[in-house]
Amino acid sequence: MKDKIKIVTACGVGMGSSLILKMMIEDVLKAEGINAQVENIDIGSIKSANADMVVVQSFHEDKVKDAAKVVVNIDNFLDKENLRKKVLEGINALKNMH
Amino acid sequence: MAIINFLVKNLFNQVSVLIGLIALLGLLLQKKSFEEVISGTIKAMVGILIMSAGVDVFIGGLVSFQTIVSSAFHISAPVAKNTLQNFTENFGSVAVSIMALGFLIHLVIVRVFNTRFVYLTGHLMWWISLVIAASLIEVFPDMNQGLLILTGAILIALYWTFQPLYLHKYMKKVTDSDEIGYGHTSSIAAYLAGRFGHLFGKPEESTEKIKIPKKIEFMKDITVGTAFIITIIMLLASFFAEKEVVLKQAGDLNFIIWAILQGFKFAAGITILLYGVRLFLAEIVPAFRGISQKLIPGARPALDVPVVFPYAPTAVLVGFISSTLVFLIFMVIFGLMGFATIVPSMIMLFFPAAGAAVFGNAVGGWKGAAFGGAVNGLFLAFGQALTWPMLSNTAPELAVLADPDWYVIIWIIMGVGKLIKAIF
Repeated sequence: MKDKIKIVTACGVGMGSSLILKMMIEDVLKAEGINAQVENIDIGSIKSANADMVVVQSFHEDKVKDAAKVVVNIDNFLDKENLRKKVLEGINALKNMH
Repeated sequence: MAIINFLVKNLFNQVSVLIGLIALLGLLLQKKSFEEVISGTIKAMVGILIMSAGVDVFIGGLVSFQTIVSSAFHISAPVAKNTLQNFTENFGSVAVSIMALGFLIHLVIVRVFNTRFVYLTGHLMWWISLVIAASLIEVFPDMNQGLLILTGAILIALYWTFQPLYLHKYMKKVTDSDEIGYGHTSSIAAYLAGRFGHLFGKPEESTEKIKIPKKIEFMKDITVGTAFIITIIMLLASFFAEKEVVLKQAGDLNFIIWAILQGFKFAAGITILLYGVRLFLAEIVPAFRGISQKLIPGARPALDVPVVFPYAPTAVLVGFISSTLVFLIFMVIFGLMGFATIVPSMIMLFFPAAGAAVFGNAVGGWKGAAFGGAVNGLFLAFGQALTWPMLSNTAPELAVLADPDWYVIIWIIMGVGKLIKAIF
């Protein structure tokens, strides 16, 4: 496994909700002391993002399922506990693959 | 004085340098590591330059489109005395200053009046700053730069504060909660859909009970959708356009191949400019968010339009279809009347329409959703036709890239501005 996990958030144009998601995930990573890189991108470019884990809203899930080993969906942007749980589960799933 | 002139000319009037300084300050405030500060500052500055290159490509495709479609309807193409690229070069730094100062004023208002919602939809913060700068300069071309920035910042702060609030009654209906604010420049279409959607149908006839073909989904990819629709219209128009116009534009190329390439160039330009905007926003918005969390603990973000999509995913498609149909119908009507040549921009036909449709669906079912999309289509058609000439001296292309609120903001600022000018 690479030393640094690459997490990519995505949305339609890749700069509104995906950027918000990115910042929220960075808060979780910081609090948990996890060293990972987070980027935001548009759905159309997701295949070129070379992500280990993709985080999107659930209606985008179909379009990203081949783009990374782990796909996490987040619909509620205010439930920080749910976000923390799902992101950590995703990271654990990644670690267990190796 | 010489030093001040040097600083103004080389630092504050160069939009990429100014963005670099703001990003640098933001990254330092967030106590980022040395390498993150360096790479973030460079990315923000390069982002502005990429955006400007994208605008250049986009305008190339846009001008070809307007020339051919106008010729097909035998009307004259829209006139531009200035271009968005030129305007950003000369006044981009004014827009950046409006954005930064406006955000601080916005935070003060939210804090003092306890209005709760902090506007964080970064790309629209940038575009509305440009729109406000252009509108003010159209009416007051000689306004002193400091006054321009201050006026713009106050206006934008009022918009960012007021927009999530006036829509919140319907936002609560859509999300069934008081927690999330709506922060998107489609608010006027969403408001009309929420206010009048019930006249068209009942919430029980929800879009989520109907099935529509998923094949249309591929159009939601902005690069693909834009290239697809612009190219089809270019091809159709090139058959009706005057032969000498087409041949002159196409040069050595076969006109069909030329039309396809120009349509794709339009889409390529939009994709490049979005990429550039994304680069600099990713460095600046986290700083804005950090500052707002420090100054106003417990403030809630007003979020970008996709946040409402999960509440009615089918309404999103219904709205998109209805707004595109309405727009295309008016495109033909305007052309036949000789009124104007308008350009279907897929991003604006999709996102604001989708948002308005979710609101329409919440109060009026699928008919309400279709109404929401139609409202957006009408706004874009009339907005573009009326607003392009209004911005002819600054950045007329903004009229093609606009959501409904942009038009309303331009109309109000220029209308009130002209009134003030007439009185004094």
